[in-house]
Amino acid sequence: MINWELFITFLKIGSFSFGGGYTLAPLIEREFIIKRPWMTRRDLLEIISISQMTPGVIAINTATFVGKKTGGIKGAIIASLGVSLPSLFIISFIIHFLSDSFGDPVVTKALTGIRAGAIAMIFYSVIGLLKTGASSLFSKVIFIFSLIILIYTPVSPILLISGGGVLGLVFYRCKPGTVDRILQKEAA
Amino acid sequence: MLSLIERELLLRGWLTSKEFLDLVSVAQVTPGAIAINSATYAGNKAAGFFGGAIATLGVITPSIVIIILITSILLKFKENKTKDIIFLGINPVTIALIAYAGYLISLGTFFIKDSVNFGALIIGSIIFILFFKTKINPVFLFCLSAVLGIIIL
Repeated sequence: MINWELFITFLKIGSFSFGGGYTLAPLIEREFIIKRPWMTRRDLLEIISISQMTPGVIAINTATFVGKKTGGIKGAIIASLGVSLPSLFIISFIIHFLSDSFGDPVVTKALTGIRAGAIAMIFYSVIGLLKTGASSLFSKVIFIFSLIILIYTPVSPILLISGGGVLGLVFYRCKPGTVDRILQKEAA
Repeated sequence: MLSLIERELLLRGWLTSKEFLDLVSVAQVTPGAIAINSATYAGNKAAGFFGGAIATLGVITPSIVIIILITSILLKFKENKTKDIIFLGINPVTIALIAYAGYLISLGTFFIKDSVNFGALIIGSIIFILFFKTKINPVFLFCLSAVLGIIIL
């Protein structure tokens, strides 16, 4: 029965992930952390981090990961299928029945509204993630610097992620006590 | 990934350049990842619904396989302290990447061609406040944002 619930939930998630793979995060948080305590926010953050580093679409990687975590290999497949199905049907529908409605001003307005809503959702979840995943000053500084680097330089995300990992290790080398304290606090 | 898709599709003559541009518009506007939507669109154009389904399966299968492999490996490191230390540094970067994605979409939605779309900004703010202060279902908030879009913009 968990598998069926997994499938339906990812169908829901897949239908509302406007704005790209990252918008999956708040939806997953709501369905799998708040509504059903199947994973922690820390798990989610790790999943997103790894999904970015692996080849493939981040949305699918994330769904597969969550599925595997909550329902094994079967769960991984069910989650991935569930999250892709809505767009399959929506796009087919659009191609065959609605190809003229693209210039339609009402449609454009609705879509812009939805996009604004998606942005709100992304920022809302960023704030939530910062509370759990960046509780220390160390993390907050990395967050701000990464953001600045992303906005103003062409440095690749993979380089940044690797840099972050290295910084973590360096920080531990220099101040193991502090790191231990932070890890203990975050695990609680 | 988009440029990869473009190259493969145009090379095989499954889509014309113009159709590819349409593909990008549709892919951005429908829910789901752009890469998957592009595959679905291209498959659909080339071979109907079934083509769309096959293309979608094709694009998600590598992800599924790779992630399953990776999680099996990672399982061995579950309680590993080194992993925790590394992620202590990686997690904030990931959050920054998510914030950056939001920033990029904001640019395209609120600021088009040097002018500010105040209506969109207002809608975004309203929805953000609703997220923050209430426990309203996100699904409902998305519908609300569409309706607000029609009314306000």
